[in-house]
Amino acid sequence: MRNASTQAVFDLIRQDRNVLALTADNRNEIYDEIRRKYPAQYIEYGIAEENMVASAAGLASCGKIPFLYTITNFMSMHAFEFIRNDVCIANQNVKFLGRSSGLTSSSMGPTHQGTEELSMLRTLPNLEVITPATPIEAREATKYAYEHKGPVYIRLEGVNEPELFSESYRFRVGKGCILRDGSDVCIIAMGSVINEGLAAAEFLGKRGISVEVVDMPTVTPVDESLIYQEARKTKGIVTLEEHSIYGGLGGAIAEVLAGIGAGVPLKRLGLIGGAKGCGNRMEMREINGLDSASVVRCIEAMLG
Amino acid sequence: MNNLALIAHEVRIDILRMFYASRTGHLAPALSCVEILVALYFGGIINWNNRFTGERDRVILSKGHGCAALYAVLARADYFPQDELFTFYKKNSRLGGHPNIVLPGIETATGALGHGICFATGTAKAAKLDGRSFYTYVIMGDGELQEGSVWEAAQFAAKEGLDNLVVIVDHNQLQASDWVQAIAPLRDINAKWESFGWNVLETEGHEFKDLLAAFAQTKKKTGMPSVILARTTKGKGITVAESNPAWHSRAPKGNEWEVVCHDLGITMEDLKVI
Repeated sequence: MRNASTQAVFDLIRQDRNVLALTADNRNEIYDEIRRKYPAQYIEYGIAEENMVASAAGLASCGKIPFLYTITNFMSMHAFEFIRNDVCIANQNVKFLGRSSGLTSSSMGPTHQGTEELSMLRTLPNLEVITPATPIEAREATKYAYEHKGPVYIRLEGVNEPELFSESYRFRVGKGCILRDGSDVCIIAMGSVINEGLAAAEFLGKRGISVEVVDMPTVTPVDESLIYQEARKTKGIVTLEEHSIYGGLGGAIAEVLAGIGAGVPLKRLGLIGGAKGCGNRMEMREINGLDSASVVRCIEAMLG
Repeated sequence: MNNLALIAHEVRIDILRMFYASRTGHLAPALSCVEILVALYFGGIINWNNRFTGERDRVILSKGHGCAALYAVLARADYFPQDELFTFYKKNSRLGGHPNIVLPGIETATGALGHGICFATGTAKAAKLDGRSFYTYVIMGDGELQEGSVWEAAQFAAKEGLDNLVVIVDHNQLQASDWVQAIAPLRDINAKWESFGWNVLETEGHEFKDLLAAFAQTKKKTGMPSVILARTTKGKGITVAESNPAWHSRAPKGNEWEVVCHDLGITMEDLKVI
């Protein structure tokens, strides 16, 4: 999805000279192509994320539309106060593309696993936070970010995530998408880990358990009406995310459910105290209880 | 007293009147940058005629705690009504203890140190990209140079050749709790900036002739950003506050107001907002 998103930036750069591609020594092949073909619209900041973020705010204050691309932790957590003070307080038109989110970097170790940043980003004024599940969703979210006037953070993962949407898919901010209909339990997920939820739903369906699966690509603002609808329709909600269960998607949904007084059981599948272990993406999901088998066990326990 | 010195004197009186109304704030940090701000706004440095347009020169007080001086100068330059100065720190005021974008003339909310110069690399770079002629001026504290982000911005500004970016270091040698030398010595500040690729100028920070000459030199320099190291006195003009580490974040109290009046040549009645 990171290539789908940056390709969308490339296309925007061709159309609008105010669109800029910014990075902190983290260009991918597409940003490198922007550097070669549109050097005036490419700015390399070096390994200096704090300056990149505040500088982007300065650029935006003069009418530029900067798209910042680098590893999600280095941008969102290392430079958090700069996102807050320089970008969000003044509602500057800055777009963040944070790659390698969640367990994308898996065996690269804890410094590169983006597993807590939403708990901070969700609290910021004016900032919309988008968590695509697939390349097409990431592409459409990037196009949306350009159209939207104000700061947007897009939580990108890696490459070759399974595609769940058709070419005609149009991203709608603050709206979830029902990917599979069901009536017993609802899985609400963000990011490509939704595929574990879909596999679990498929498995349980063969055993007579009907599971609805919702892709929730915006955590701020989250789709409150859809959460309410699912709370009324099903016997339980399971949230699924490659992020801490505190302050991310599960946290957001818990806040909504508590706010409306829904008595529906809620189980949040995610990380507690950071990701554990070492391994590839699938192994990390298994170790951390986010694989489809773990989702199945969770739902079976929920239904007793 | 020449015209600019007279304006600076009147700005100091306005600042003390604000503090007489608020009884709180960072007085000494404001007093050390009065001449720097007066030179910028009233000494012909910023483009006066387009100061309310998109082509305005940008002025960013990165040492946001010195905002009382900026507020007094902005009011005098017609950014907002003079009377509003005396809402400083009060309920629903636009003039809080650090600059906020709700107030005309404020480019970005400052006060968290090490941010202003980073924001400024963006406005200066935008001007370069679009062939616009405005300058960006950033006023920083010397203690602020301890922030790592300052040097991220410094290396970037030099790399990009941002000769439309001018940093003024309000070099009063004091920071929040003590002398800079005692907290974390800056060693050779000139060599630091020079090695980062900046045009370095030194000047007396309370002398208009010297300040204006330094600003004039920055306009002549092409291809690299400029930094003016302005030697100043924290608390300048109020004897009890001058170069006194206890005065970073406080207002005069009790008998100190009489010292203030004596130093400024005014009466207690002059301090009162009518």
